[in-house]
Amino acid sequence: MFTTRLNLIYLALLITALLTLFLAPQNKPVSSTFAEDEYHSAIWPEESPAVYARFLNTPDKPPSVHAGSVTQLDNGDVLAVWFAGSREGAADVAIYSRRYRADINKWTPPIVITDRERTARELGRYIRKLGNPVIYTDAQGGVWLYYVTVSVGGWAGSSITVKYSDNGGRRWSPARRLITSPFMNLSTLVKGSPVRMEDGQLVLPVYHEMITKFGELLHFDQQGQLLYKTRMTQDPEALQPWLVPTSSNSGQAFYRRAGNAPPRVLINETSNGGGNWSSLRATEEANPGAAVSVIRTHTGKMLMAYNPTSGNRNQLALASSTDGKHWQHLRTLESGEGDNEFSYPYLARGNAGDYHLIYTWNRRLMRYMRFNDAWLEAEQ
Amino acid sequence: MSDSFWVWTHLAFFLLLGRIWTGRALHFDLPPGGVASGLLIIGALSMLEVQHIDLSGWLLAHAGTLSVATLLMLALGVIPGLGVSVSISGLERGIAHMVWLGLGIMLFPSALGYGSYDFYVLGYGAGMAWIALGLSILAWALKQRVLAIWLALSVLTWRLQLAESPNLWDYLLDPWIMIASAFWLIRQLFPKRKTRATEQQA
Repeated sequence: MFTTRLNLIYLALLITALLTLFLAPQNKPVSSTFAEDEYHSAIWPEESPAVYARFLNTPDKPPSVHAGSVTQLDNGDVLAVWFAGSREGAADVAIYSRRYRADINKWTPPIVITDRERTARELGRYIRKLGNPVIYTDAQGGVWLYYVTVSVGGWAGSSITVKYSDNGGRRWSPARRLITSPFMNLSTLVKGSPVRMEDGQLVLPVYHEMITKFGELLHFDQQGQLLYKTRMTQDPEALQPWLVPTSSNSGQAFYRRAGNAPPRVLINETSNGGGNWSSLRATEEANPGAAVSVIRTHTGKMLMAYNPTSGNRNQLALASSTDGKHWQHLRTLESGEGDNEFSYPYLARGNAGDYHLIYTWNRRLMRYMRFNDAWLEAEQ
Repeated sequence: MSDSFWVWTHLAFFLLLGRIWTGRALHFDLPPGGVASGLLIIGALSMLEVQHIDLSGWLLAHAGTLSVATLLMLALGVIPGLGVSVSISGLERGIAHMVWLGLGIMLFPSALGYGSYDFYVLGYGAGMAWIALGLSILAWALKQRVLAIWLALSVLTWRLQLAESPNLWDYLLDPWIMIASAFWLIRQLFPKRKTRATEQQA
């Protein structure tokens, strides 16, 4: 009797599974072509200002800030995000945002986009801490906010959570967790900017840091659904990848060094749209084990913001390169001493041929800069 | 959280605590009605909110999303408590645990960065689902019903996206079933040793 019933149950199960496989839409192909504007030069408008800089938050409100990210919206507004709280990893840490309104040429006051409790409610699970927000405007003007959440353990236990806004960051969708690892979805973090593919898909460079440290590329469809992922490094000593397309199929990725890797910025390359990656190697540029940010400039070169020392984060500089391997120092943005920390730079291209840069200033302030090629190339 | 995943998390909570409860209830020879009452209470507990999060959400945060394999084994532990007999031989269970342990040993280290190939990426395509269904039919033909149901149910729930993941591996396996399988297989060795030791003492 039991066997007969079980046979029937299995038969029904099998037929339903077969039907869903036959009838459901087939998997979307993963794009392997970078969007043209990700690697082509643009015309520099002469009327843009050369440089502009300011702090985005008030000291001690809250006392500890870190990991800024910035994007320019289609209407010219600039949206900056960072995390802040009593200290990194504290329960009161929230994701803050501040908007530059292009129509009135003013910054609006900082607001909280989300915090631990709100994210926990939206995900329906306990969240212990959050951090590392990354913000990005897609080809349709939609704004994506990726950030890490931790339920168990330290940052190595992170997973990535995403929110979406269809009205320029004024209203956000409920948080959605990305599942990127079979091991209890532990240890996927984000720091670098997404890159647009030709058909509107996005790729997001992420990294693992539990037990081994390596980079991965997450492939999303136009609706932000995860399609696939690609391992970017085999060597377990690289973190926080930044992807820079150099043609429709080729690109370079730059990494913060970790573990026993030499104290240099690390690099590797793809020639099939991120599908496969070469072995890591060290550039000539120093890296103290701190995040770097690299983008393609409007003149076709690469621009890197980084800490140009091997021991600490008390200097921050900009350098440029034509091939990603040999770099020329352009400007020193910060030069401090001892425990000063100017870190976690995040570069983004502006709509008008300019650049946006945000970075942590001594863990107390978020520093924002906007500049153009003329300022970069002028004598200091 | 989607409605379907809400069901998944509450089912996981219900089956996990239900399995523990059923084990204790059977130990004390509780009748099926008593076991069912306890299960009802566990179902209600699952919805209890603590700091705006269901108890099942607290479990989920610490244990991760449970796979079909784990849910299936938990269900097989709960069902006998309701007076329904489930006859699965030790050999059939053993083969299932060996498969789960073997797949876990292959999958989890590669996902954590060991080795040059990440087996997890295979789970994004429909190709692996077809293979899984083929293996399910084969397992049924070989009278390995646990494996057959596990494979078919995993493909079905993956295709219907009942959990959060777009990857079939997350429906097939989780670290808990691998650990449980390792313990189950190791435990098969100990009763024999214990018996021998008892015989020697006698």
